[in-house]
Amino acid sequence: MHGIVYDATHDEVVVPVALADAVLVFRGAADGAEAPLRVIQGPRTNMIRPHTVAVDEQNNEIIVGDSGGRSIVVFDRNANGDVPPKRMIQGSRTGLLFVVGVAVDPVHNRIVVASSARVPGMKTGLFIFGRTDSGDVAPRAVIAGAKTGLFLPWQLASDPARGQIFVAAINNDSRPPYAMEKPRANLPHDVQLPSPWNSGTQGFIGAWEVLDDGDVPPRAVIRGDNTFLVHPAGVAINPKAGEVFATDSVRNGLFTFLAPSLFPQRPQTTR
Amino acid sequence: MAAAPAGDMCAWWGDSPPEVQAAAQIDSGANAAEMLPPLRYVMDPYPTFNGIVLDPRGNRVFLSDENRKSVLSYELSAGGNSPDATPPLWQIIGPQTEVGFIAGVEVDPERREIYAVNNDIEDRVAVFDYDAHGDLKPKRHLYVPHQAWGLSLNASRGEMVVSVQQLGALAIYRRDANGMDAPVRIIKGPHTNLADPHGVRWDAAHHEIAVASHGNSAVIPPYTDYDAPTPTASAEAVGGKFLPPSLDLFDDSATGDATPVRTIQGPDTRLNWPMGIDIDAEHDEIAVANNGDNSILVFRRTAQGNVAPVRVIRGAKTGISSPMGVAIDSQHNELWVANYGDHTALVFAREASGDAAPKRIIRNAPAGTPTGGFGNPYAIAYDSKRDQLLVPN
Repeated sequence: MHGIVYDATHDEVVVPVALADAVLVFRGAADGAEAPLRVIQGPRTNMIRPHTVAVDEQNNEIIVGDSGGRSIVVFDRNANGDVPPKRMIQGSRTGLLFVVGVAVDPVHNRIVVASSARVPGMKTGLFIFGRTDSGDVAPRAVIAGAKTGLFLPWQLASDPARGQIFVAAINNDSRPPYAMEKPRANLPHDVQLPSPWNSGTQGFIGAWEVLDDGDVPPRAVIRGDNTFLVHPAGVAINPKAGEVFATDSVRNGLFTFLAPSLFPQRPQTTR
Repeated sequence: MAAAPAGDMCAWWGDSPPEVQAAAQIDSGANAAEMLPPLRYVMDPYPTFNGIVLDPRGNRVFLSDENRKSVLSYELSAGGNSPDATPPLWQIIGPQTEVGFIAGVEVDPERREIYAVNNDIEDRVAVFDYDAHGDLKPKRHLYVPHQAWGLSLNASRGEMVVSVQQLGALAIYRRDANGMDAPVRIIKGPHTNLADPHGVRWDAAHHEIAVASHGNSAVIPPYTDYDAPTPTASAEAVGGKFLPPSLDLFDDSATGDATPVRTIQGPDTRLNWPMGIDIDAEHDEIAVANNGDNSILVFRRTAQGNVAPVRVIRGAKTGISSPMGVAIDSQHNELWVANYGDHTALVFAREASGDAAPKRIIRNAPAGTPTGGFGNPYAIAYDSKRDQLLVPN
């Protein structure tokens, strides 16, 4: 499973199951072989490969980043069974392709999506939509470009109180030799694909403001040999304690950083 | 950071402890936290066993290690009752090896080759010589579809079968396939009953391929960042399913949307996240590493339908903990188990049943060493109520 989110308001854990096109909701204290409280699954859900999730605790919604549908699929938080979504963001205007991270900011009314593309004409970066955007809509902003340092963003974490978005920039170079069961015809027989764990592009944890746009560097970054991070894929935060958590695929471990300066007191602004 | 763990013959490039500098001065400017050392970390410096394969004639057992990304080899008689780590004969480990989040492992005793299947994003099978050791390039590699898990050879046919989770498929290749060689055939489709297949074993004696499926079923179109968007993506949503786990046996010449010749499936089977499997052709049995309830299930090879296993090894004395691999040595009448939940491989009497203690234990860490249990952690969540971290595998 490549996604998980904790809903503190309702004490629930939400996980996507890509191999079964499902989203499971467990109670927060679930343990062992305990059945989920709710299962969102079925053709009416329009999910194709749910990869990542976020929960809008304020507006009672589950937001699903779907890599197969190249979409954002939004359900009522209490959705159960084969139910249609409330909204979907999908289509050529969205700019979305490999959707691997999603976060919601109910204070600034934004949904932020980490999407990657190696297809000509498409971008890799953070795509920021209005929280209630629907259909084939263009993002309100796109954080992408050389200054961002984003080669491959992955999980996102939202800090609505400060209008921040934390990004696990895994930044590894994963080049799939197959398109599902078909070997890619454009690859020569003796191609030497790089190891995705030795790609030479170090990953990092970065923080942007949710209202940022364009080719802007992160406002803060955790990066470098001292951090033990090589290709971090997961990020979560505990603003009260000033903690940033990261999982790293190369290290196969999880790391806690104490960085209270990343969570300053500041007045909330909305646009 | 721990020093090089017992059994590691070669320091991996990601292992060098960083030079810890003085704590960075944190201010409110940009990049304030750069180079910040972690306050805490959870990281296991020891191997974690996954796949297992035996070569009884060669007196060898080979185990894949997903945590440190390696392949280890021991003598079949290795291990015992010592609390110390068991030194391996050798270990293939390092960035040149192309061994990553490795799952299945197979051996060809005649050609003296080892096959290692990478399960997560490396998308390749790496082949080594029998006594390969250290950080070396594979003698050849074969690119395979994403989420390949198990591999099994049929030497007489000169072929190998690879299970592929997200495709719900078995891909059959020439044994010596390399590079971008395509499969010679694929078993895939709604009639196959394949749903998130894992362990696979080619039973050459009976001309069958056995495979264990977890039951996760979905139809997934190309979705990566290298695949252009399709205009009708929403029309492709057919919905996924959670099917009961199963063991399916196919005629080994099957291709396409083939129906299995037999299926073992249903609540009486006790199948629960079945991982690696092995076939004992001499005694006509199939063993399953039943990860979901910490057991080994043994079925009659010809069983069909909702049938109970003929033997179950399970209980506190067994030491079975999140088993990922199982292998039967009919020559020495032993059954091996590769644990993911702790740092051990266990050896039982072949016909062990119930809460039986193992005959001996191979350890890749001192007894009692905990394991983080991670298998490429791609996400994390913070539970503020319990002050806990949640990491899905």
